[in-house]
Amino acid sequence: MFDTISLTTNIGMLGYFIFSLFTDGLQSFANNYIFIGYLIFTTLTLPNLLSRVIFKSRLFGLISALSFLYFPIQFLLQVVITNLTGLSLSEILPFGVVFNLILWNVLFLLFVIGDNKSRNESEATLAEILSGILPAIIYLLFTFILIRQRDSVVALDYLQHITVPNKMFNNGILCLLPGQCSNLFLQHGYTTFYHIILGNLSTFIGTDPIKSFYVLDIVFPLVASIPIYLKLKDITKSTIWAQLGVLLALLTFVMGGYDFVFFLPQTLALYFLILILQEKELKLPQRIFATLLLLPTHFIVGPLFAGYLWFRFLIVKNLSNNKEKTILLLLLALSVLFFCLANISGFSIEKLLQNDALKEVGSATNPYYPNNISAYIQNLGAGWILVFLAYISVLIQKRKKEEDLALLSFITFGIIFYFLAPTYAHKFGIGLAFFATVLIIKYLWTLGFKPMMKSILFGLLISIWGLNYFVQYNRYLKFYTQEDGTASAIVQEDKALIEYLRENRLSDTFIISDPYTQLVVAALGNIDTVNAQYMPKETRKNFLIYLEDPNPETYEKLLTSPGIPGGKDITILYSSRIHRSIELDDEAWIYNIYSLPINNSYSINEVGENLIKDQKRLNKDLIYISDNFILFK
Amino acid sequence: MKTFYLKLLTIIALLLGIYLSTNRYYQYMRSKNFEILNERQSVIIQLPNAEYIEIISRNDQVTDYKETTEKPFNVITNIQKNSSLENSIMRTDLFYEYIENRENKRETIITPIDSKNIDVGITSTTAYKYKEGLKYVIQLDYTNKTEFRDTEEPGVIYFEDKGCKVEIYDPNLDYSTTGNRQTLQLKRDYSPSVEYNIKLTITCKE
Repeated sequence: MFDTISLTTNIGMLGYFIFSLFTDGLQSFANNYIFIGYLIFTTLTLPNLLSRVIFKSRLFGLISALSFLYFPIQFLLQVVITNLTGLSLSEILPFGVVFNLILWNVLFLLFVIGDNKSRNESEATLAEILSGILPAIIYLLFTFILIRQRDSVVALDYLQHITVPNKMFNNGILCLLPGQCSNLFLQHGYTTFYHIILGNLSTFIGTDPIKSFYVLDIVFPLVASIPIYLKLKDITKSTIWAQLGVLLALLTFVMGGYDFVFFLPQTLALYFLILILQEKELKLPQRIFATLLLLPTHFIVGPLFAGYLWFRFLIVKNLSNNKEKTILLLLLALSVLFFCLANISGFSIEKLLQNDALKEVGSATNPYYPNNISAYIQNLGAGWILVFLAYISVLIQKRKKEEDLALLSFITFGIIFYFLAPTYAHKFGIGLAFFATVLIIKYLWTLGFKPMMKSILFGLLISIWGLNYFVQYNRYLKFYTQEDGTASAIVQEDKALIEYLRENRLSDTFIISDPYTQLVVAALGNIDTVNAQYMPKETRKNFLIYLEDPNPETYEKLLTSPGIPGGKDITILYSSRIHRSIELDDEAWIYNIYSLPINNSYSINEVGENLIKDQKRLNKDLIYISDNFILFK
Repeated sequence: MKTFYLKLLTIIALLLGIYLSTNRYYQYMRSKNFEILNERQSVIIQLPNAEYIEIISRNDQVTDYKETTEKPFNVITNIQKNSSLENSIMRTDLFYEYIENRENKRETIITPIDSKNIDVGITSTTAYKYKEGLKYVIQLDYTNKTEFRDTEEPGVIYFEDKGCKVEIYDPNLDYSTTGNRQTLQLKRDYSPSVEYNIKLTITCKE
């Protein structure tokens, strides 16, 4: 039955696309939500089908995680083809995406038909997948009806990351690190592995990036829900407990970690880890492959996850008796206490060892006692009480299970790194949604509540997690909430600029504007800027000084500021954000690299005569793009 | 037996969890009596009666009320606000303002407790020569003319205007008001580091 449902749905989708092709034309696919959703779903699940059909391995497991390497391999092949044929990457890459869509359909058909010939395994697998997706659908309804607005993009990270596939596509650049493609990456945090996948989801086939980011936030949790469900089902052998676990994991908003909320390099690494953990036991070569996959995905979170896998193997697995396991549990608790107290007494890596980084940013990147403790607690809210009870329960168990120790170890590692407080320590909260939920579900399941009590319990748990998630998500959205109530990184007034830049290609130029506008220009206009949102503080200051007092001297100072390339044409884009800053003497944005005023509605009624005069000196004329943007070109 | 106690503890934990989550939800939806605007160079507490209270560092004074009156933050060389900070820096429930004028530093942390109460913490570090009777003064400016009144409760003064009552609790209350009937000045004996921990209670008619 599930085979038939899945096949029919897929055929229905394909039929709809063919119909759309004839009625609305090929261009309509760029803005078609169903096509974008289908593209993202098939791209993210293609490695699973490769794993099952080609490598005859599990649909969700280590091989499926390793199968994600298909995308960089395919990309490299396409680069080879461009070198051999003389075609550009922008001509080749769309065919790669279309090929993947066809490949997915072929593999899906083979998966269903092939299995039907043997033991009809696909029927059971698809039933399991649908069971896992069901709570994710409830989660999506909750999130996208009550919290998110249509077409909202609520992670500036997406805008930053998309510049890499954009450069690959438009400029035919092959880069191993994102910083080689785009000047938006001041530090190397990952390879371009993630960016190639992101390119396949949008840039390479030319779908609308804003719609793609929005739909990606819908499809990613949907896909992630399947391995979460399978893991919980494996532990509890209960569909309902596993479904509850999926819902709770998705309803956990980890500030900074964003476990299943956004598709980012760090969350991709977490997704890989969850796929890897589907394996009952990882042999040495498997662990090595897993490590080699996690490290290039994210240079900070990857080693954390890989380290966890090795810790499981080297330490947890070798604890033979209950006494040793108790010692480990007590050590974990002591570590939390020790690092928490060290933090309270003032210890912090960022303050002690990363002064240069803080100078560059303009402030500390972490909150400090007591705010840091309350911020970490809020990630899980009242769920921490259950984590504590689960810990006690494991501690008093006569036969402690390896899985419990491993789960508690991961949570402890996250807390330790958080309290060590290197820059952006809140990223170490990643994984909390999965590991804490598995621990809690496992604990509650072992208590064996009666059906009546179980349903009350479920209601209470969903309410606790739902309320906490609602508050966490809305607090996160505060930065993205504009004057008119729209909660999105895409500002209505900026759309005129995006339109202008699409129609008037500004080649061989470098745009300088306020940091937020620069990000919009770099991400959606594919034009180089001065490090976009990470425009150095000194350059911000010199830019503002020049705008307030334009003369050859201040212009020269601006040209020699960090991030401004020598010998390139510099185009000033005067925005409402800058105008407001000058008019209202609001200069907070020049003192902190993360200070980014989002609103761009302050009408530019008049630009200083001196600025126009000085730009004329440089043969630059004033072009009115809209009430909110003036370009000196 | 062990399982029974764990079950009992779990149920208690869940009930406590519901209480805490609901409480947090209501705390989040606390905009009933006020809204805090942390933009430009001041912190504004907007009241539902269309008036607001403004705390602006530029009005801070170090004065002996005779010959010396200095404004330590008349010029600003660095300002940080958490309202415009991109989410790469962790969000907390509070509103934060950091002002610098060379060696003079001032940190304001405003924490809404619930729909009525707000904690205001101000720490100012300045470098002036100590003098007898020298005071550090911060100002709370209200947009309308009003009367600041004492209560029987120590450390509490209040004003009422257009259906809203604002009580100001300062454990070390030493205050004066200005002739324009809009400004409350809270004083401390001058020291290089001056701290204020004030509580505002705002009650407005439905």
